[in-house]
Amino acid sequence: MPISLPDVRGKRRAWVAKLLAFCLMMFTSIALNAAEKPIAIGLTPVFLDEQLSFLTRWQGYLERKMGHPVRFVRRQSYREITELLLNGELDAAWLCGFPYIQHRDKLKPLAVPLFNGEPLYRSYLIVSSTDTVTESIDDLRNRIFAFSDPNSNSGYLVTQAALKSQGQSANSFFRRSFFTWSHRNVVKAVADGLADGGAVDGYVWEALAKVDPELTSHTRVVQQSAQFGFPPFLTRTDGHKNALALRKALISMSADPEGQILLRTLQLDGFTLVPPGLYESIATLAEQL
Amino acid sequence: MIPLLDDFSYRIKVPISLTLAILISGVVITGVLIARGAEDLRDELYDNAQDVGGVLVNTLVPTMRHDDLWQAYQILNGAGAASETVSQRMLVVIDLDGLVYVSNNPRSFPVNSRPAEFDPEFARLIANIKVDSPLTPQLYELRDDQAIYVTLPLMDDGVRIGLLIMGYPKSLLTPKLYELYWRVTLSTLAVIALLIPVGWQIGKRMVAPLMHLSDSMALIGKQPLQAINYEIPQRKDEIGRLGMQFQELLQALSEKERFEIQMIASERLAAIGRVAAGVAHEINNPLGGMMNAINTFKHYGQADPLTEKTASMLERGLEQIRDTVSVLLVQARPESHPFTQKDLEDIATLLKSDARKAGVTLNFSADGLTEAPLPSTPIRQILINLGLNAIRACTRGKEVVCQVQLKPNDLVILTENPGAEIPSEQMGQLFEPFGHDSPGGNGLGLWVTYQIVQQLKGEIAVLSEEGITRFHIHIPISNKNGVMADG
Repeated sequence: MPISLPDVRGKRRAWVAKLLAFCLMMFTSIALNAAEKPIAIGLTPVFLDEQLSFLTRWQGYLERKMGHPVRFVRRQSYREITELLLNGELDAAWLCGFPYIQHRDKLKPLAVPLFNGEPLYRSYLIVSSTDTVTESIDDLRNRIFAFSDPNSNSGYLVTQAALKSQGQSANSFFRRSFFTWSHRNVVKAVADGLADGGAVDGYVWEALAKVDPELTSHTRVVQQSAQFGFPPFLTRTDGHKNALALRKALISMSADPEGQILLRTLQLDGFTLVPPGLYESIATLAEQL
Repeated sequence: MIPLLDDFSYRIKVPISLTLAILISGVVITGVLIARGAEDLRDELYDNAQDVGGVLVNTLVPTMRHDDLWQAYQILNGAGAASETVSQRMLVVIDLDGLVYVSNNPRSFPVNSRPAEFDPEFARLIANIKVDSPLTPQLYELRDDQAIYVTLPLMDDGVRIGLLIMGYPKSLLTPKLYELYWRVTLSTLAVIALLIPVGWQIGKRMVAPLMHLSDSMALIGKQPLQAINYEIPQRKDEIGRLGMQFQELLQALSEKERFEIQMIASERLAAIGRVAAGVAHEINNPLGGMMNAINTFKHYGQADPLTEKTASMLERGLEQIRDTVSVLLVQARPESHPFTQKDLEDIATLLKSDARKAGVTLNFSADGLTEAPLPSTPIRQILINLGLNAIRACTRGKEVVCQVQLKPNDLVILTENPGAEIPSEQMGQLFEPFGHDSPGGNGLGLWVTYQIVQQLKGEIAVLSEEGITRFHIHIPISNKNGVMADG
């Protein structure tokens, strides 16, 4: 595609130098491959990423809006997606504010979702619905606790920081704690009784309450944390034009009828530019660790 | 057997015994099948545990190595969710300290809890598990437990890191067992329902000949022997033998009966003979006097014609009495000359003339007989009586047979004529004097014949059936009957 040619010219020269050592015939095909290479977007369980039919529709929508193939990439943990993004194997990723804070020098936010009209969310402390006694994290001392991901703000950092302020840590405070690698699994672990309590993304819990009310009905929200900046779409600071195209496509979703349907499934109001200082509160928590 | 059953008929006992045998077999087979089925179910469960356990151990060990509790939980849940039955399966991973690492039912077996402390069944199970149990799955089925347990050690690079316990609620097996009971019981019942009528029929058939024998035996003494219609069963078993013996008994009985009837008849005839002889003697003496008197009167008396006529009438009447009495006074007196061919020729001539008058043919034969050592007069009397009877009874135009045969030990006389049969009610009194209608005879011929045969110690038999009447006489040749020399 001609659009991408000027931007990658410098790189292509290096490519060509290497390729000359091989075969001249390969040149055209490699050049074409580079041109057609889809935009790779990393996804993490900051939303209900298990709805495959929705992902297919969203992917198609973004491809049409951007005029470029799109590929969603999912991995088991935030860390793997973060590393892929930092390595340059991903063009963008929907990650938590905590990894952004950890790699603020190399990553920059592209856009942030609007949840209930604001780019903000909370962390929920949940227990089993059969547990009618627990009123705060203090009641869960020496119990089994489920976190979502060690790089999650709402599913780990918020609780860990609260414990830290009492001079404790997850390992010392709980009898046993473990990671389920997604917010939904935290809800399931608590609902099943595998864990006595869990830290979960408030947005995911609310969305789940609409999609799978049976599951959330087995849990009870004990505490809601203060508000934090919603998990943003991130790209590298040296991110190129594709990232900007993605930002444009995301932000314009709320103005597009098809985009609105997709947003309704996501139970979000839209995407917006990231206001300055949105993730400072997460940075403050991270500093406490 | 219950004493009460002894009184029941074999008609019921045998089919009931067969039915009982079928029922008992049915119950035993049902029991065996159910026991076998229950064992199969247990084997199935063990196989399932072995299969699932093998997979679980392989996938659980790496997650435990990385201490990934959630992943371990997912594995157990995935294994448990395959079907509703399997989802009731309890899966617990216990670490080396006896604490729950993870279970597929965290509410019953919470993470890091010590199940031996709150679950007495588990405490029993753990007490039963040998510390260095082999690496193969071990089945623990304790009687009071709610579940059957299969345990499998979790090994990481040859080091024991925990134990997988799979618990199958016994209630899981109950509906299957129940279904098994039903299926086996129903099919057994169906087979029994099919077999019982067959068994009942076979029993009835087995007993039928015995019943027939018993019923026939019960008739003896109640019905005439001829009326007992017993068929000998065509078989060589005990019943067949009983039947043969019963048949022989029946024959012996009818022989005896016939013999008794003959005895009575001959005794009666003998009694009649004695009376007749007695009466004849008593009449003979005065009769002789009276006839002498009349004779003398006719020779020497001067009588008017009326008296002459009266005397003649009296004489004729007395002669008739003498004739009758002399017939009644049958006496086969031994005579001087034996029965010879000459006698035969006389008889043949006499009978032939009668036969011609009656319009029948006479087939008279006495092959090779020249002389028999028997007195001639009684034999002649027998032959003439029977011969004349036969000619008289013979259908016109037919043939009368009269045969005389000399055998080494006896003389056989046979007369035979076609014609009306002797009515069976007359048969009893055939040889009695005046015992039957006798057209053209004096009614004493057969009685005389009988008396002669008796006196010669012979036998007389009569058979009258299918339009033929046959008289058969045997007279033994003995010294006693022999001809006295000039006596």
